[in-house]
Order: sequence, then C-alpha cells, then structure tokens
Amino acid sequence: MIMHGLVNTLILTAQEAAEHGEQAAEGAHGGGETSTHIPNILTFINESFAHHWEVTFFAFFISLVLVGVSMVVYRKREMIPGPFQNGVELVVESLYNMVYSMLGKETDRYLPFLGTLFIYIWCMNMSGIVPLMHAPTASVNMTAALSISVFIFVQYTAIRRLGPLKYLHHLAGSPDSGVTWALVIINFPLHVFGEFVKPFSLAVRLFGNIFGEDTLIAVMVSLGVLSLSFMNSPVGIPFQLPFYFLSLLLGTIQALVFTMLSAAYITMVLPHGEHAH
Amino acid sequence: MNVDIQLILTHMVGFVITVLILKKFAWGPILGVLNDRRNKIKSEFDKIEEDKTAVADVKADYEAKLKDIDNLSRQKLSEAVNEGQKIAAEKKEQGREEAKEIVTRAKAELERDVEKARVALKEDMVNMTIAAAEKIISAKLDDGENRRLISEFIDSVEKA
Repeated sequence: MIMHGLVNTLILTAQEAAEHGEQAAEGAHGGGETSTHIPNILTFINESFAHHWEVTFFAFFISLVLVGVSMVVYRKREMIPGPFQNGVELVVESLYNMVYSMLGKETDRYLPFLGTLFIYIWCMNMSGIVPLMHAPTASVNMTAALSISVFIFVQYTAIRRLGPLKYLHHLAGSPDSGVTWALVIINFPLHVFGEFVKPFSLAVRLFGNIFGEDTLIAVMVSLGVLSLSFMNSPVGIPFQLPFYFLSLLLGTIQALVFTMLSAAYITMVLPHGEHAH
Repeated sequence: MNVDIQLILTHMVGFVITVLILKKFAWGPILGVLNDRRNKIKSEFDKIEEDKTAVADVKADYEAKLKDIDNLSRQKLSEAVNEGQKIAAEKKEQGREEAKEIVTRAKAELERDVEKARVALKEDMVNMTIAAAEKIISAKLDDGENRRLISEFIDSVEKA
C-alpha cells in the first residue's frame, strides 16, 4: 500500500499539482506540460503559483549559479590561474574554438551571446537529472523564449550589419539578374517564412528531446518502483540509470545543436567575406 | 504543449539579463585574461628567440675573436722562434769569432814564448860557452882544436 502510494505520488503528483495550477491559470506546471515527470523541490508545495512559475524558478536558479560563478572568476581572476579559473577558462576557450570554426574573426563579437546560450541550455538540460530539480528546457515556453531571443538577435544583427536596404535585399534572395529579380515575388515571402520557421524548429527540437528524456526517465523510475512494490521495498530498481547517461549525452548534443544552428543563422546574415566559411 | 506568452517573455528577459551579466563579468574578462596570457607568452617566446639570436651573435663573435687570438699567438710564436734562431746564429757566430781570436792570440803568445825561450837558451848557451871557453883557456888548451870544438858545439846547439 505504501509503495502504491509512492508510485502514485511519482506519477500523479505533477498532474495533481498541475490541476491545482489550472485553477489559477490555463497552463499548468510552469509552462503547461501535464505529463509524467519526477517530482522536484516545488512539486510538494501545494500552491498553484509555485507550479505555474516552476520552470522560471529553476531557470532563475541556474542563471543565479552562472552569474555567481562568473562573479567569482571575475573577482579572483589571475594571470596564473587556479584550478577553478582553469576549469572556467577551459570551457570558455572550448566554446571560443567551437564558435570560431563558424564565425572566424567575428567570434569575439558574438561569443558572449552564443556562449551564454550554450552554457545556459546545457545547465538547464543537465538539471533534469539532478535530484529535486527539473529541466526548464522540457518546457516549450522556455525553448520558445530562447529561440525567439535568437531570432531577434539574428534579425538585429542582420539589420545592423547589412543596413535596412541590404537586409531587404537579403530577404529577397539577393537578386542580381533580371531572372532573380523577377523571382523576388516568390523568394521574398519564402525567405521571410524561412526566417520564422527557424526559431520554431529550434524551439520544438530542443523541447521535444528534453521533454522526451525527462518523460523516459520518469517512466523508468516508476517502473523501478513498481517492480519492487510487491515486497513493500522503500527503494525501486534504478532502471533509469542508463537513461541518465543518455540524457547527459543528448543534453549536451542538443545544447550544441541549438548553439551551432544559432551561429549558422548569424553567419548567414553577415556581409560576405567577414566570416570564416 | 500550452504556450504562455507571459512565461515566454519572462524567460526571454531572464536570458537577456543573464547574457548581459555574463558578457560583463565572464566572457569579456576571461577572454581578456586569455588574450593577455597569450600575448605575454608570445612576447616571452619572442624575447627568448631574440635572446637566442643575441647569444648566437655573441658566440660567433667570441669564436671569431678566439680564432684571431689563436692566429696572433701562432704568429707571435713563429716570430719568437725566428728571433731565437737568429739570436742563436748570431751567438754561434760570435762564439766562433771569439774562439778564433783566442786561438790566434794563444798562437801568437806561444810564438812569443818560443822566441823568448830561444833567446834565453841562446844566452844561456853563450854564457855556458864563455864559461867553457874560460875553463879551456885556463886549462891551456890547443887553440885550434878548441875553436873547432867550440864551433861544433855551437852548431849542434843551434841545430837543437
């Protein structure tokens, strides 16, 4: 009976919390996903407000950690680094090299945005396997926010670097002959549509992957608990363990894909010859 | 998949703030430190290369000077040997001259001594002859025989 209660808690607590949340807001669970997932620190708070802002809470917490780390490095940075600074520098330099392979000499200008994007997404993906935490990227609202930020940044970069007229020229498919000018009427809406599809694909890809991983882990946890429920064991079989490693791998890959695609979108709007091909 | 505009905007604002803070306190300073370190290492390596070149120059200079010194010492040695040989030859010649002079002088002295001895001997002979003659005279000798005897004696002495 006790085990059944625990299983029910695992599987249903989120849904119940979501239902509570729905009383106050249309969406529930910090973004609306009323699926099976592992309880986190906010699951047990019986307040709809807390569940509605769950994703925001964890995202804010991750931001706070990143800011804290950067502050510590900023204050204690030295020419001969200690182990902590070494670790941070390793991450920074790896990201620099990664972005440099796409943006070349423009890297310095766009690294803060792209680097933060990668680390932020990676930390959010990884928080899905941290006990009592929840991956904010398993919420479409978070991935949509990130992809819309990328979209706005890319458009802003394009207008700033190309100028308004060249930006429109770029959106028209950069016509340079009579035929291509004639095709502008088709190319322009296609390009505009393509620009809007990009953030949509970014958001849905990241959300789908992380949401899938989280759901898979939650189902495996439930299965593990259920498998030993007949002997009233307080601990289930950790079926979810292999999927933690999978989550580590896929979480990193997804963060990388999101960042590299964003870098590619930036590269596409830069004036030709100003970036590495 | 319920989309909540309020949440999306909140997350966007959070992300943008995070980017701005990290840009100011993480990316800029850390990249600055990395660049400074890279420049410092580069300048150190450049300096090492410069020092290496300078050391190579000094070494080449030093070796050239050593070579000059070696040549100079050989030249000096050769000059000293020549000088020594010259002095030795001069000394040898001088010695030979002096020896020759000594021999000549000794010969002359010897001749003088022989002459002196001859004169002294003659005088002794004369005195002895006179003494003999006195004895003969005093012993009343045959005058002709005595003269013959005296002459023979004198001749024999002269021959001797």
